Amino acid sequence: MNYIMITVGLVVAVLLIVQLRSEAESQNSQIRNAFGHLVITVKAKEAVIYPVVSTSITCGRKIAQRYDQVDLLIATEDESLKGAAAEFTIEPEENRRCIYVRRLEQPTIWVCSADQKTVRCMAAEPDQERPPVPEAFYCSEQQVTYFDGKKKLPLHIGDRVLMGNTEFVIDREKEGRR
Amino acid sequence: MKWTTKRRGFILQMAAAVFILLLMIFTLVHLAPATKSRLEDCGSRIERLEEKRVSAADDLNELAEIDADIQFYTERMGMLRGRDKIYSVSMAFLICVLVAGAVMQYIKTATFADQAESDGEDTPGGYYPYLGAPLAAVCILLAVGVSYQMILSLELMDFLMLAGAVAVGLLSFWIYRQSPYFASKISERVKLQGRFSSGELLFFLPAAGIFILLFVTLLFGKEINGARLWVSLGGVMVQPGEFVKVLMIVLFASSYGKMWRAIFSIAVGGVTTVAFLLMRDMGGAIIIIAMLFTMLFLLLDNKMTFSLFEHRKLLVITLLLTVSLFVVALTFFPYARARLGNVGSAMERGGQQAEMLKALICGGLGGLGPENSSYILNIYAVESDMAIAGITAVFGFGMLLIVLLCYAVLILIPLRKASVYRQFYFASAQVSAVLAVQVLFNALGAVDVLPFTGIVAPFLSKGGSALVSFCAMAGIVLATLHPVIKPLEVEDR
Repeated sequence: MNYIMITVGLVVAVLLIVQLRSEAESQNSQIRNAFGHLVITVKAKEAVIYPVVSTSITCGRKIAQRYDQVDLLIATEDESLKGAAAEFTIEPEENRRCIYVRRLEQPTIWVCSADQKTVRCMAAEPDQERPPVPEAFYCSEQQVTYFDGKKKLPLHIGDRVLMGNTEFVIDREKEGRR
Repeated sequence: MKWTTKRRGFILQMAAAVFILLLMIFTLVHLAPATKSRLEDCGSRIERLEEKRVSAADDLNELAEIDADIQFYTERMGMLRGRDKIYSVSMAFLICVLVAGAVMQYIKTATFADQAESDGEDTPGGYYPYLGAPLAAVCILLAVGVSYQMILSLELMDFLMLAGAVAVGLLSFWIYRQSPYFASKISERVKLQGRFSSGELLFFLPAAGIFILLFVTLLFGKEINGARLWVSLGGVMVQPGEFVKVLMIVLFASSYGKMWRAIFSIAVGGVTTVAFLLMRDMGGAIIIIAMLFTMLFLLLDNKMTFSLFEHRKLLVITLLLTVSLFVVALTFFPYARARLGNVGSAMERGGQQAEMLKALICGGLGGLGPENSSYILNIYAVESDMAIAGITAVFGFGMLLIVLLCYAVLILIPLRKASVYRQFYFASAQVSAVLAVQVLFNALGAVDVLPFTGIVAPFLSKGGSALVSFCAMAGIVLATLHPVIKPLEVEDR
């Protein structure tokens, strides 16, 4: 009786550890999916499958020295975008899910708030050359800030991002939720 | 059929239920022979004492001592004779409580999954809270603890207290499990017009609670075995220090994000440590210090990596702090020095640790079994401060492995499972720290590897206050694992 009980108990205990591992993975993937409803939509008139902008989503807590990465390819045929132009990342930061943009090979990236009052610019060397605000983003009484091109900028819902001639709108996904 | 995590979790819960049932049947079957052997043991002891009484007829002091011993064993025999009748009733009651707890948790888990799907906008759909492993671990530990206590206990009152503690513990487990959900619902409906936001209340109320509990213990505490820890509450003895630990976890978790709050909570931790030392509760002080270290580590570890190698400076600081704390403790607290000095010499000194080591050797791999546990019963504090070693001696090393793996599941949770919110990560990391320290000191203190400090084993030891507070801690961990529940003061950008 004693040995039967202990054997069953040991089997259960080993199952417990296995279950913790599998539950942890399932739950982590659930949390990863939760970031999925923040998506970047591309505002380009004639979009074809032509991956120019490399994007990656980094989310979830860093576990055991490894980020869980999801790559999203964005389709556009804008030839003024250079190589791997920029990187969008979604990271958990200070209790929030924050979306960032980081400049890669594109010389300048413009970010405009939903009300057009604030405009942010990321350039390779903003101290030497300050490019003018593009027409699409221009309005009177707006505040323009220039950032070092190595930084990553936090984005908000409703922000518009201009790279080359392509405008990206940061939006929540309206459909496709289970 | 596809082996999803959910399905495997269900099978695991069933297997755990089978194990718990086997354990209960095993205990029940062996209780009557255990009682019989213990009665025989008491009888032979009384006979020996009476022989001794005849031979020591001249020495009055020795006679008085022997008389007291005889009275003690006669009373114990009375208790043992009376206990058969109450077993079936209390056993049935305990099984009911455990089964009800498991069923309640299962239903609650299922309801949460539905809730998540019907809540709409703020709750991304399809969530299922994966709680199978931690729930099963808590249930197994509770069942092992209950069986062990049943073998050791003698009085009906002990049983009722144990059953009551398990019931209250499960209730607080459930309340804590739901509390973030309640809190978010309340803060939605009741707009607090006063000066404090709900997040601030969650910070100030625990702090106030800690001070009140410490104050009450220091002022009205009753001294038992040299430590002033107990407060009588309408005839029931309560240990407020155990509840301080739970409040401390809530305080640390809700201090996240505001520097002044973090500093204030660390100061509260310092004051609590001093208060525990004044009560001469070294175990409590060690646990609060472990929590303070965890808090410091979490505050400095901004990137949520929880990797020691990425924080070499932090490791050095922590080591220096630990060493300096040890030096301070050894310089200013002579009883701490005495305890540390005793490590490794239990066999020469004799006493409870030596007795426990002998019991472990006699038990061997298979354990002594409930019938032969009368030897264990005579060891002081075997039901609380030596619970893990005692369980090993009674049930064997297989049970030790089961118990340790169950603890490992609960301790590993914050490292394995992601919680998006930092407050929740703080809370579950603190619970892990407390569990790890308690298990280490309880298991290794009893076998003379660490100083014996009177720290109870989570879920296994006798002691209602500790059981309730540990169930609450398990509830906190389960609440933090829920992907839909948000802490207060959080906005989605």
